[in-house]
Amino acid sequence: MSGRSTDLRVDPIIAQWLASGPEVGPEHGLQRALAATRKVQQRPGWTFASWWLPAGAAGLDLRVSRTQALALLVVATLAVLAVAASLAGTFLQPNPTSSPAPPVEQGNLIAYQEGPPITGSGHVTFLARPDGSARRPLTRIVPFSRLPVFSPDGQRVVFLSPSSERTRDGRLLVVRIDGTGQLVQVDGGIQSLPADVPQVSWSPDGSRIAFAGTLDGISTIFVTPSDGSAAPVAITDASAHRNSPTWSPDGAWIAFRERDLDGVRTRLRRASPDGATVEEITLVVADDAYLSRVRWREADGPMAYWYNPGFGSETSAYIDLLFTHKNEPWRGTPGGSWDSGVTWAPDGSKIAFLTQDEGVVIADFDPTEPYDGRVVSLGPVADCWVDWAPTGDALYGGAPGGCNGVVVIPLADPGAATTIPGSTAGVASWQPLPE
Amino acid sequence: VVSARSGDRQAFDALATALYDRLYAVARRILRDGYAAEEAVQECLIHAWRELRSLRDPSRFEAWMHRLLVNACHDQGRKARRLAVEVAEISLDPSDPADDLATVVRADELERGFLELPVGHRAVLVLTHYQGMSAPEVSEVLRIPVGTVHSRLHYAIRAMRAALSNASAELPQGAITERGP
Repeated sequence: MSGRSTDLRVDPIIAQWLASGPEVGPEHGLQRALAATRKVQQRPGWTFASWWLPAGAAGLDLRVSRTQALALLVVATLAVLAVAASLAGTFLQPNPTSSPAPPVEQGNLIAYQEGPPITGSGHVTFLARPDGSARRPLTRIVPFSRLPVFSPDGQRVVFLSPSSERTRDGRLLVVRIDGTGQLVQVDGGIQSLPADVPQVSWSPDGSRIAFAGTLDGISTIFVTPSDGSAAPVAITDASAHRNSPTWSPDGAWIAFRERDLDGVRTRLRRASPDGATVEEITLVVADDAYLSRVRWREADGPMAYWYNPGFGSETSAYIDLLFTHKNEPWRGTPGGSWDSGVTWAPDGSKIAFLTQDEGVVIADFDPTEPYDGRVVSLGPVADCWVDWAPTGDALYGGAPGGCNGVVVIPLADPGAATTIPGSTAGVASWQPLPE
Repeated sequence: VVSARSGDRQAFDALATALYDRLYAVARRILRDGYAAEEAVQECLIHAWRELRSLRDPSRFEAWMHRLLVNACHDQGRKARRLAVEVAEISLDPSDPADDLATVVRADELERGFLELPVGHRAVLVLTHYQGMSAPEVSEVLRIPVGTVHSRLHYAIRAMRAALSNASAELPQGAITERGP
């Protein structure tokens, strides 16, 4: 570059301020940009093959610019249309098949990952009906996306956007499923956790999102507006690691898992969304103790989670009646990802979970009667994770034999389970039914 | 550039890798936001790969890339979703203990003054006084007349000087000496 403009010099302070800042971009940014360029095709150049040209003209550069090429194309198209119209005596009718596809009825979409058969590796999130029809990418703006979670009204999805195909953490983004509006970054630049189950939870009214992120090396629970209009607020301090937030159905509480910095005490707690009130749900004191994320049945009602008090004990599928007593519908060794926890049917009458030896197990729950001990084993119809379809008549989860896909399991005939075509590893999300 | 123009992916990757830091540094200075700068460079590279065949003169590649970058910065500037990121960056960035109050206030005012400028004016200022381009070079990159480069530069410098004056006016008496050794 040549010399500076001499008549418009800036003060040294301004020049110094302009020069201050990073000279080097982040490596992940380069990798992400290169990956993004690989997703688009180079536009073809407009050239004449040399054998079209008269002798002596082959050496000339006869490339035409895109504008010129477009103009030529428009002229040629108009000429063809004019000839066709004069021959047929009429203009072409609009093609009825070119109209946009009808919108999918609410409650019939699944957000799931496609990509390599490895958890957390270069996935892209798609939306489709359970049979794979009406398939479309959730967004074309970011190259990678994983762990989608539908908003309570089913119109938005929050998901993780990793910076490269090798990373599991990334930016937390919200997008509308109808393609309108922009991507909204809601994590405020806070580093998300590199988890394999979603570390986010929508407030029941959809206005806020609770998520687990890292602040000064401590896993912390944050609450942030779902429209990105303000920075996230930490609702837990740096005295322990916290993760797996789950918002209560009435919006008054956020349950989360807590592990002391020395790794000995593990708790489940619930906090008010502003962090002002924090209560302990349960506590286990052992290096090998385990508590999974909480699944709420109703406000201030039963919660379900995996419970292992440590010291080599078996693990229980726990139904915690909050400060009264607990039910243990099943005891043994959980299967799949324990972090997925124990899930409630939409009407709260059953729980479902993955076990190592019995596959998917469903247990009844009636809050008005003592637990009757009835469980049903569906066998190895899912792996890694399992959850309920919003209609309550089916489960969906990781495909058996390594979770390389999302399987939908009708409860009336579990043997007729089908895998969403093209789906690969990763926890999916089923769109809620309309209110 | 010729290989990349004919569709050679490896050649394009090599070009992009060689230019990435420079493009990022310019975008970061125009947008004053790391995340937005990353997005702008990514958009610039996607556009470059897609449209590279339309570049007739390979020797103009770098100027062409800067034009694409400034266009991408314009697009980023139009997106009004930066509040959360900016607030978080400010609150999370560890402050430099060497900074005294005067430096902080000055930087704050310069930042404010700079961000009030249109992206086109910021680009002229950065390309001229950070990249060291001459007015004709900036004119070629931005496809604007040289006279417009001068007028934008004049306007931008005047705005930055006003910001600097604001900073001096904001400093309370004795503020610097109170924090001195």
